Amino acid sequence: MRARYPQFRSSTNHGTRIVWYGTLQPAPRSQAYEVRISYEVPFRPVVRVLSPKLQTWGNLRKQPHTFQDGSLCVHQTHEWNGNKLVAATIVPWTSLWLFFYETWLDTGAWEGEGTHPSAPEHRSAAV
Amino acid sequence: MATMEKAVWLQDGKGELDGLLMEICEELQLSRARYDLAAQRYGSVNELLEHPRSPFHSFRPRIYPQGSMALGTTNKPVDGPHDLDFVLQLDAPYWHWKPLALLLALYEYLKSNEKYREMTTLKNRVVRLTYADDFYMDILPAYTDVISGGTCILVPDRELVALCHSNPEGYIDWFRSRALSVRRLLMEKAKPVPPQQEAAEKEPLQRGVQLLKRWRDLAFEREELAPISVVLTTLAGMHYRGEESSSEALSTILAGIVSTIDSADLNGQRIEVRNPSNLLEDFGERWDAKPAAYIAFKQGIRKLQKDWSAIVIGGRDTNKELERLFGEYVRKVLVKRAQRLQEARKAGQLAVTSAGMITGLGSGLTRIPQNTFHGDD
Repeated sequence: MRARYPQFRSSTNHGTRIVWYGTLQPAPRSQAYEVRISYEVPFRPVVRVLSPKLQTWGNLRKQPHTFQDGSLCVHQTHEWNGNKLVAATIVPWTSLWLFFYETWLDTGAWEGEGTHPSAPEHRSAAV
Repeated sequence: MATMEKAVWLQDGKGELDGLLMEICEELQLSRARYDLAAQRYGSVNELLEHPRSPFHSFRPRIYPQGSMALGTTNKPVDGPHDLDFVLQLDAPYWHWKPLALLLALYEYLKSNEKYREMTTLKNRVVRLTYADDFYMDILPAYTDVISGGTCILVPDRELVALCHSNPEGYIDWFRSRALSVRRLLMEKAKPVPPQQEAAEKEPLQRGVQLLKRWRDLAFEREELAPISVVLTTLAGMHYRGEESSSEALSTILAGIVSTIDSADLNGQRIEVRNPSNLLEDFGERWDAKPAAYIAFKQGIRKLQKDWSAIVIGGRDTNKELERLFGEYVRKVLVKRAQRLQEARKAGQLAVTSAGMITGLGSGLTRIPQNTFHGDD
C-alpha cells in the first residue's frame, strides 16, 4: 500500500485485521479527504471518510452508495475478492467515489452510475 | 493558436479552473444557429443600404459590425433579445447638413421599405430593426470624421442635436491588439460579420469580457445601475496584461480596475473610461448623470474581486461560488465534466496517482479497474 500511496500509514491489530489511514484528493481543486480502510479477513474492506465530514444536500439523509453505517460502497460483491490488492482496487475506487461525491454536492447529480439508479440520491442530471 | 481541449482529467488547480472557465464561456456563447442567422440578416440589410437606389449609395457607404459580435465577446442574454450592432459610415459633407439629417434619412429609408417598415424604430443614435424572434439590429449612421482622420467618425445624437465623436473601428483594432500576444494568429477582420470562434479558440481577454458581462447580468438587479458593456470591455482591455490563463487574466483585470477606482476615490473623482482610439469619447460619462450607478459599480466590482480571489485560492465551496457569480451554466459544465470522466472510466482509461488523483493511464500509476457503486439493498 505504501509503495503506491506513500501518504498512507497502517496499524495492525490481532494479525488478521489491518487498518490503513491516508489522504486522497481526487482532482486538483478537490479537498484532501482523510480516509480509513479497515480490512479483516474474510470480510470485505470497510471504507470510511474521516474528514472532512461527508455532507448531503436538500432533505437527503445520506450520500449515494453508502451503507447505513456511513461507510462507502465502492463495489458489488462479485467485483472484489481476497486475492485482489486493496491498493489496486478499493483505494482508486474510493477516489472515484469522492470525485463523483463532490460533483453531486455541487450539482445535485450523481454521474458515477451504480446500482439502484432511481433512488433519489442516485439521480444523474438530465443535461 | 493551440485550441484548448476539453480535459477529461486535470493537471493542476489552475488548469482545472481555466478549463471550467472555457467551458462556461462555451455555454455563454450565442448558439451557432443564432449567430449565423444574425449574420444572414446583417447581409440582407447591408444589401439594401448599398443598393444603387439607396440614398446613401453615392457617399461610399461602408458597413461594418461593432460591439460584441465584432469583438467576439457575445453572450447569450439572461433574458430578452440579443443584438447585432453595426455602423453605416458615409463620406459626406456633414458640415453642410443639419446634424440629425443622416439619422432621419436612414430611418425614413427603412420605414419606406415594405419588409422593414414595421420593424423599424428610431433611437437616440441608432435605427433599430426588431425581429420577431428575440433579436434586433442597431444601425449606427455616421460620417467619416475628416478632421480627426483615421477611422474616426461623427455620429448624430438626437438628445444633443449634434454630431458626436466616436471610433468603433479604432476600438475594435485596439481590443484585438490587446487580446493577442505575439505568438497568436490574427483574428479575421470584420466585414461582413466575422465567423464565430469556438470558445476554445477565444483569447483569454475575450473570455474575461464574456465572464464580466455575465457577472454584470446577474449581479445588478436594477438594470439602470449596471455598468454598460463597453465600459466593462474597455476596462478589461486596459488592464489585461497578456496572461495566457483565463483565471489569471480575470485576476489581473479585476486588480487593475479596483486599483484605478481606489486612486480615483482618493482624488474624489470617478474613473475615466476613454475610448483608447478616440480619447474625446469617455464611456464613463453616463455615470455623471447617474452617480448611484457609479457607486453600485464600485461596490460590485470590489466584491467581485474578493470573491474571485477566493475562488482562485480554492476550497470546497468554490464551485458553488462560481455558480453564484456566473449562473446555471456552471452546474451544467460540472455535470458534463463528470460525465466525460464517467465515459473514460467505463472505457478503462483512468488511473490514480499516489495522491489518489484521478488521471489518465501512465507508468507508475494505479489503473482503476471496473467497478459498480453499490450500497444497501
